[in-house]
Amino acid sequence: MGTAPSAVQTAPAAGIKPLKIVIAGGFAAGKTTLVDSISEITPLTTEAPMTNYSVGVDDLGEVTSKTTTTVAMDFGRLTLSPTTMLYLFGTPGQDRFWFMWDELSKGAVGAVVLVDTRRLADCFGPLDYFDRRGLPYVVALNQFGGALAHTPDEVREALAISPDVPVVAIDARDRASTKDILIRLVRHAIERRTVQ
Amino acid sequence: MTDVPPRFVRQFALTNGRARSTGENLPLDTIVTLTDRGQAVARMLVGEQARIATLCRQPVSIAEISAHINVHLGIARVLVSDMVVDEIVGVSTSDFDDHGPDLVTLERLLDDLQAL
Repeated sequence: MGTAPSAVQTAPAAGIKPLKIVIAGGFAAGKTTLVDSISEITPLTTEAPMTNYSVGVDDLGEVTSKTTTTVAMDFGRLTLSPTTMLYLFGTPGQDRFWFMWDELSKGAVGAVVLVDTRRLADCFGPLDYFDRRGLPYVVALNQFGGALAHTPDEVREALAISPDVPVVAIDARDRASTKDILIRLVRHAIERRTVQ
Repeated sequence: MTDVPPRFVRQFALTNGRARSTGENLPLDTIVTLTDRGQAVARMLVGEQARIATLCRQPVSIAEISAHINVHLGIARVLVSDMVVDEIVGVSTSDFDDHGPDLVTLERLLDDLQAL
């Protein structure tokens, strides 16, 4: 999907500030599809250990073998300038891995809550989470190539979404649509920042 | 995206004499690049360190490192931290607080996205 600007190759690590946007939503809402529509790299999967973030060390200073359960996240990347790398991290499949949502959300620009309008209940958890956390978010209704089961206004009412939060129909497969929703999120984040 | 079955953490030993990093909790989007020293010694590295050195000739995140060399994030953080201590790689993080990125950063991000 295109290559990073050549200037990035010579930029020292110290100059590059990573930014991240969280892509949240139910199991089959289309998170990875959305990431893939705009990512300059094929979406990758990273796994976080579920015990804790430090690896066990015994008295001899050796890291011991153990079995570790992990939670997986798909993500993509956009190099926007020599000093700006934007990461799009999909949330883990199940809502219960809140420790991982905390890490993804910390210092993030905001979140896109991707909605399958046939399964509105799937986004109760994400919406609650971001409201409590105070992270700016937009709600994106994924059309799955066909008509929506509910209009943006109906969804807004059904989920009691506040009037200042954008609720927008998108096509997660379409790069232009994804670009647009990311822009809407950043604009919303700017508005929120401006009133603080 | 469902959770994966338990997997083994490969065993690796940390030498006693060397100052060991405390596995500072580097964020998963930490950017990692090879230093000049790293370029000079890259051919002498082995195992995960060699693979990481190859990956970060271009800036990459810890998340990407973990995905490409197939270790979980905790391991990737420790590996990168150790390479920082040895001055083989440099790292860069954003330290935005709970309010997130500042207005200047957000405005610049908006410009960059619109230019896509």
